[in-house]
Formats: sequence, C-alpha cells, structure tokens
Amino acid sequence: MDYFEPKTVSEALSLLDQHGEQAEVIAGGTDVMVDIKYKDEPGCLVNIKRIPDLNAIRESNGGVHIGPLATIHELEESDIVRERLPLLWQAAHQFASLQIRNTATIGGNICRASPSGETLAPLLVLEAEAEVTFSDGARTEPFGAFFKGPGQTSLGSRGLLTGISVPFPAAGNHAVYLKHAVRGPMDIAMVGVAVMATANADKSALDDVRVGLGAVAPTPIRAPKTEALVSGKALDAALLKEAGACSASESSPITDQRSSGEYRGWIVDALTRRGLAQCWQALTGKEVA
Amino acid sequence: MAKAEHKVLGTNMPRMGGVERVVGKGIYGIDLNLPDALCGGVLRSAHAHAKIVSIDTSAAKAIPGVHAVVTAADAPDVRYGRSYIDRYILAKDKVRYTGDPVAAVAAENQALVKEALGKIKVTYEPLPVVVDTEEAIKESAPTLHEDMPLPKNLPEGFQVKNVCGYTGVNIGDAEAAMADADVVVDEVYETRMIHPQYLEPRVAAARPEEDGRITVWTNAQAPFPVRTEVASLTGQPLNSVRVLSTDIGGGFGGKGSGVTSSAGLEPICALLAMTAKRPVMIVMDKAEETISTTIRSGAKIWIKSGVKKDGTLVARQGKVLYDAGGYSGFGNQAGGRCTQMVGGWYRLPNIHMDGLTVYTNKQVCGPVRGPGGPQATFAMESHMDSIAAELGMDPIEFRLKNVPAKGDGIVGVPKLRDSSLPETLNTAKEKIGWGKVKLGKNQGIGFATGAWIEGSGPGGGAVVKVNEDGSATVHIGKVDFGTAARFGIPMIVAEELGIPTGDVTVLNVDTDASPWDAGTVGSRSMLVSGNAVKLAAEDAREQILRMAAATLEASPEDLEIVDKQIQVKGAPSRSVSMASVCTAAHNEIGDVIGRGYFDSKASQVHEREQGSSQPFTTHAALVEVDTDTGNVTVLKYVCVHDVGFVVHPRAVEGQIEGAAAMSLGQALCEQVVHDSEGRTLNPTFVDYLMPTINMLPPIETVLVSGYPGAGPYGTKGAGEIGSVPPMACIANAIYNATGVRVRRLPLSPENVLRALREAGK
Repeated sequence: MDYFEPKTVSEALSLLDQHGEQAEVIAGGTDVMVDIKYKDEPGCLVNIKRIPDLNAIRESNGGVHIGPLATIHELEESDIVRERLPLLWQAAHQFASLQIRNTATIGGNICRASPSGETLAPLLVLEAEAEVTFSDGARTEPFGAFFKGPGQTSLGSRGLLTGISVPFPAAGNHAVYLKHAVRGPMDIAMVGVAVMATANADKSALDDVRVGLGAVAPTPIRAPKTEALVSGKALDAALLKEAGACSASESSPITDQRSSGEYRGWIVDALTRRGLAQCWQALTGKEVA
Repeated sequence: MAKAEHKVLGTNMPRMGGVERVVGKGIYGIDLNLPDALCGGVLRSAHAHAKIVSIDTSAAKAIPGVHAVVTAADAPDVRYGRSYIDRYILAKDKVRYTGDPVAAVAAENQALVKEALGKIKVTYEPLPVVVDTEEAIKESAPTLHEDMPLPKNLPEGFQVKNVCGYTGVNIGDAEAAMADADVVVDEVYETRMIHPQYLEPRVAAARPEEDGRITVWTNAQAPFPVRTEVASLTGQPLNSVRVLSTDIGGGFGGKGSGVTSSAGLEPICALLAMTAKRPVMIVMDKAEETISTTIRSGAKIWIKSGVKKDGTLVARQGKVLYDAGGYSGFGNQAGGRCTQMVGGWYRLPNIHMDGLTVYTNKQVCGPVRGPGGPQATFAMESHMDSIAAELGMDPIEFRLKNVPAKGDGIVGVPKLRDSSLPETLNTAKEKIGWGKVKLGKNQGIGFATGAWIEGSGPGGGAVVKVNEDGSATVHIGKVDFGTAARFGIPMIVAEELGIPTGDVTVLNVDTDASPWDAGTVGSRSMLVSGNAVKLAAEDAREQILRMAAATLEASPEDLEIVDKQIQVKGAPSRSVSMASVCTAAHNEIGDVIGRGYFDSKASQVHEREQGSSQPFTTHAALVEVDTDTGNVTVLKYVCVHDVGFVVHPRAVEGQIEGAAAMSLGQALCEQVVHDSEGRTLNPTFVDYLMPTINMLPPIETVLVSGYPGAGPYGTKGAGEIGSVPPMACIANAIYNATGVRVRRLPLSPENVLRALREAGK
C-alpha cells in the first residue's frame, strides 16, 4: 500500500486523478484505520491532514465557513459554532468520546456519508452547502444533493470536500439534536433527529419547521411532509402525535445488528415528538397541551 | 472474627504489583520480547459448519520468510475436551463454527503471516448450519459430531440429538406437589451469548529449548491444565513442557478453561515453534477473539412453580437448554450448574429439572464468571417476582417466607450450617429504601438474590520459603489477575509470620517450580491457595520457632513472632531477631521451607457432615424506564453480600462491583449477535456494546458478617457471585416501574419498548 502526504489541495487532487478508485483519502483516520484493519487495504492512502488552512472555522457571508479538517472537538470549542449554530454544536458534543472528537474531522464525518453520521442531519437542517473541488474546478452544492447513498457522495473518487458553508439560522430559532443509542454519545446512533423551528410574531404557532433524520434511510434526510404538517400551526398533543407518525413514515430504516427497522421507526416517531415539543416550549414558553 | 485479632488481615494493603501495572511496567503477554521470535497467526473457518475437503498449504509455504505452516495433519491424532473429548488442535475433517482454527502460520513478520494465511487454500463443502439449541436437538437438525454419543446419564424418553451433557435434579415428587398447589406460574426465559471481553487479547509464545524441551508463555488463568494439553496435543512428555504465566489483563473465566478457552492457541503456537525450530509468538486480534474464544452461553429456561396461597413454595419443574457451541468445552459443567440453580436456593421440597447441554454451530462455552449462574438467576429470580405478583405479595416478603434456615438443604448443598439469605434481603431492602423512597414516574425498584455454591473442585498446594533476612517467597499455582494472589495471599503470610506485607513476594506461576493448581477459577483462590498458604506459613513458623527455642531457652509453644522479632510470650524483652534465626537456619537446614495444601476432599466431607455456610447475596436496583424509547437508566444499585471473613475489604468490594458491572452490561446491552448462518455480526467494539461508565450507577456494596465459610479464617469466594443477580434485579425493577415483564435478554431499549408495546403500555 502506497502512502502520500500532499501539501496542497491541487497536489491531492492530482493524486486522486492518478489513482482513481484505488486511492483512499484519510484525514482523522477514525474510520479509515478501522477499515484497513478489518477490510481490504486500499491501493494507496492519500493523507490530506497536513494540507494547511483547511481547518479554519470563521464567520463568512452571513454564516460560518468550516474547513473540512476542523476536528469535532474544534467545533465543540468554537464560540461561533456554540453561539450561532447550536444544532451543530449539540451534534458535535454527542459525538463519541473526547479522544475520537480530538481526531475525527467534520469533513471525514461528511465524506464517509454514513447515514448515522452525527453532523449530517444537522447540516441538512441548517441548509448548509458543500464546496466540492475537482482538478478542473470547484462548485458548491447543498448537502441535500451531496449525499447519494451509504458511503456515496457527489465527490466520487476524484473530488475533495474543501469547505462547508453554514448560513446563520433565522433569529429567534430554536434547535435540538436528539441522538438515540444504547450508550448515548459512546455509541453509533440508532436514530438521530435534528429539529429546528422559529415561532411566529405572537408565539402562537411554529414557523419554518425543519426536521432532519439520521440513520433511518440510505442517506441522512429531511422530513418535508412533517415539516409542512407542523409549520404555521400551534403545536398541540394531537398534532404532535400526527407529526411523530408522519416523520416515521418518511423514514425507511433497515434492520441490522443494532436494531430492527421497526424499532427505528418507533424512535423516529418518539424523537420527532420530543424535538418538536422542546422547540415549542423553548419558543413559546408553553407546554404542548 | 474481629479485626482486632489481626495485624494485617482486614486492612487495605495496596495491591502487590499494582503500581507497576498502572505505570506500564507490568510484563503482559504482549510485552514479551523473545529474541529471534517469529510472528504466528491462525487461519479460521469462514463457515459455521462444513466438511474440509482439502487443505493446500504449498503456496503459503513457498513464500520466502514463512517458516512453518501447520494443519491437523502435522499434529498427533489426539483430541481434547473436558466432558467430551471432541476437539482437535486444528480442525480435522470438519469445521463446526465460524472462527474454528484450521491452519496456522509462523513467519518473519505480521504482513507475511497475513499473506501466507491468505494463500492457504481450504476447500470446504458447506453443511447445514444450526445455531439455535431448540432446533439442534430435533431429529431434522444437522449432526455436529458424528462420533459423539448421547450422555450416558440421559434418562429414557428423550428424543434428542447433538446433546453433550445432561443434568437432572430430582427432589421429592414435583409432579404430585404441583398438582396440589394453589397457584402455578409457568414461564420461559432466554439469555444471549456474551463474550467476557477482557481488554488484553489472548497471547501465546513458545520457544523450543536446546535440551529438547519447550517453554510456553501464556496469559491463561490455568497454566497447569495448559501444560497438560500442550504436552498431549503436541505429543511431548509432560515434563518436556514448561508453562510460564505472564501478567494477565483480565480473564473473567474467559481465559480459564485450559487451551479450550483460547481455541487451542498455546498448543498451536507450540506446534509452530517446534516446526519452525524458532520461537513463535501469536497475539490475537480483538475481532478474532470475539468470534473464536470461549464465551458465556445463552440459555433457554422453562420454569414452572407451584405455591400455596400463603406464599409457601411447594414445587418446581423446569428444563434448561444450554448452548455448548461447536464443541463441548465447559458446556456441561456450566449447563449443569445452570440447571441446578434454576432449582433455586430457597426451601423447596419438590423439584424436578432436566438440563441438556447442546452442540450448535457457534463458538464454545467457557467458564465465564459464575458459569451458568447469571443465566439461571435471570430466570429463577425474575420468576420469583412473577410468583409474588401473581399472589399479590410483596417480593421481599415472598422471598423471606421461603428462605432456607440453618439445617435446611438446598439444591447442591445437603445441609446449611447457617443462612445469611434473610439478612442480605433485609439489608438490601433497607439500603435501597423499599417502601420509603418516593418513586418518580416510570421509576421502580427491583431485587434479586443470588447464590454461588462452593462445592467440589481440585485441591492445591503452597510453599512458603523464608529467606535469611526473614522475608518470605511464596509459590502458589494460582495466577494473579486481580484476585487473592496479590491481595489476600501475601497478607496471610505476613500475618502468620509476623512480618510486613512488603517482605512477602508471591511468584508468578512457573509450572517447573510452582505447586500444581487447577488455575485461578471458580472463586477458589482464597479457599485453595489461602488455606494452603496459611498452613505453609504456619509450618515455616513452627520450624523457625523450634530453632529459636534453644537460643531463647524456651519451648517453641511459648514463642511468638511480632514485627520480625521472635519473643517469649509475656516477656518480649527475651527476644531474638527473625533475621538472625533464619540466617543461622541455613547452616542447619538450608532454607526454611513451609509446605501446605488444601485438602479438597477432606473439606468437602467436613462441610457435608457439619453443614456448610454459603455466600448468599441480595442485589437491589432503582431504575427509570423511558417508555417512549425503552431506555432503562439505573439510578442506584446496592449489592449486599455475605462473603464470610473479609481479608482485604477493598479487593472484595472491587470484585463485587466489577462483577455487578459486568452483568449489568449483559442486562442492558451486551450480546454476541449471530445470523442464521452462524456468522458473528458484531465482532469489534464498534458494534459489540460493552457498558460505558455513563451507563453505570453508583454501586453501594455492603458486606454482612457472622457467617464464616470454608476458606482461611472463615472466608468465602467473592470473585463470581456478584455477577449472579444483576440481570434479574434489573428485570424486576423494570417490572416494578412499568408492570411489564421482559423475559429475554438483553433488557435493551428495543426489547423493553417491544415488551411495553406488546403489553399495550
């Protein structure tokens, strides 16, 4: 197995052009190293961790620019993330152990494209965009279009994720990321639910409700029917129940050794209700009646 | 016995070698650095059940740097096993589980080992796979071992196959008593396979010596059984094999069953070393461990009890199907104990139990911490709560109504000398606040009692050598991995010889020098080595006092040793230093060598005649159930134990808390998951969920006293029993919180939520 340590993005891209499917990009290595041990070795490793300036977290154009090499712990420690993107901060905070957070990068979490990736549903809900770079140029695309399937992204084998742009959410929003796993943060999510909403002017209804679901479809997804069902309405117990069921119906979870698809559906229902109820309470000061 | 009688016993001496371990200086298996050593590796079956049509090793052998490639054909035609001798060093003719070792390689480095293993061509003819014990006993099931008969003691009328062990319990007339009962409760429980998951992987190293002998290093719990099996499986005379113990990073019984526990790793390593004529070292990978080494089996348990309206238990009937895996391993011993324990430890005059240990195409049963006990107790103590609920009785009152008293017998114990069960129940009730704490929504309290019968087992010896300066060097056959070897044992020697614990050295096991022992298993370190070492220290002390008697012009009986001074009792000014006597002793007798042994047979006879005192326990848990997700949070956990006299309180508490934590893991999340083809779906720690600290509650351990056991000074075993009650305890707390009984482990969010939904909650 060959090993490369490019010093620039263009050097990395030319290595990917040269080695194609044989190349595996590595940054934090928390997934790739495990794969090397338990699955087939890739033809070569392209370690992008040493490329300078790809780990910045800064305010930019009405939002936050995040470099893909920013570690999960750097997100957790970032004031701008904590204050302006609390949804992403919550996901980072529930992301495995501190040791893993110190090593794993947000770019790795995204490019791995595991449906259960902790930051993915929050990025969808935040309507963030990916900066995707190939040797012949760069483009931006919403994360909704970026994820193609488990482990599949629009990067293919020749592209690099070179930036993440997250617009500031509307003022007065409330957001919550709920992770369900047997061991809490120290475990892969069986289900992750991200909910974000604002309230209307007299706090009588929710506006711009967004629901993102992780680990219950081939990619992280939004739950548009649930969002439409709840947006513009006052949240009462009947609507909450309907929203939970709707959200579950928008998911298509599989059965694996962690849990059955049926159970994951129950949890999507429960966590959607819980997330919406928490938003409602935070935004209106009222319990769901 | 009051602590005041002792200078050393009852204190919390720092563990011998503890600091070295913590700072990374302990020599674990993986730290061995044998000059000129090759790396070894094992090719494991990818099929759960298949005929081996052919094995072609030529391509692997042709790789430069590969020094040995071995299969069963390279070893003597000898098998190993305990109840059934059913297993070859490497699979011959057939593989019986995914992970069964088929061939092994020794090469210059790990990469070459991997390459060579990949070049061994095994042609398999896959056979139908059976992973479920209920299926495996049916006529239609595939046969795992064509040449293994059904157990000789299997009663007539069982139409079964693939059975490699039977245990029956027949007390009174269960059928008639059941018919007379006012209330009958009939239930089925199921537990899943777990792996003991010691953090240090299995390691073996072997070096052929110039004189034709072979030295084997192992982190097994039982070096002497390993010596026997390495000799037999490699065709060496016993005295040509020397086994040395490394430091051990956890075992929990998983490293306890001779070479069975490591799927033959030590003899395979020895075979490689003998073939390559070079030292060879094999370190197992974690995923390789999880699929191939011994485990705590799953059990299916049918339990039915009859009671009178006033809560008196009158009858129990039941059946156990205990999973041995692909070979008999420790299955019959564990399955037998499980069957007995489903019979319970209450006053119950009529019991009938049938326990079958069954071959399946899964990895092999080992003696994991309280073998059979946690499984049995999950069923038995959950069932006790079900009966109490059926009768409308308080679960504590119902148990107290049926506890055994002095003179009573329980399954496996003809006569009790005393019974601490009521005291543990009452103490647990008080400590958890039963009936006193105000329970929140979906909160509940559960109890479960436990027993771990101290029964038969091999004896063992000890040698205490007193050096010229009065310090002592101790040989025992038990290895150290956190039990008595480096806690209680040096304390006993120090107490008996009147020297500080720092002057006592306990050697690690070297089968060339140490007294024979069955291994650090069965909660028997104090019982066996503790008793033996006490007698050995007394023997050495008598020799020293005899020699000092002349100098002090007193009779030996009038002398005592206090702080390394030998003095006349009542006249401490008439004294002589231990060092001077021991130095002088060398001119007379050489070393002062004290010898002692634990006479297991005599102890058993004594216990049978005089009655025995058993280490009863009650655990209590306060839990909260999230009825939306099924998640169970354990808020408080109490372990009340009778372990007899306590030599080292913190060591005992540590054992109990560790054992409870281990079974809380099995209660809440742990299981090895197989698909229908016998493949392990969660071999690594990514998917095999061990409990993390955020899942564990504060554990309060309470030790009750006044019930001396058969160990030295009245100790009882404490290493395993803490793992017996937790699964039932949590299930009972969930029942108390929700009114829903979960009869299948783990009590994972999914299983709990499913049970809640099925009950319409």
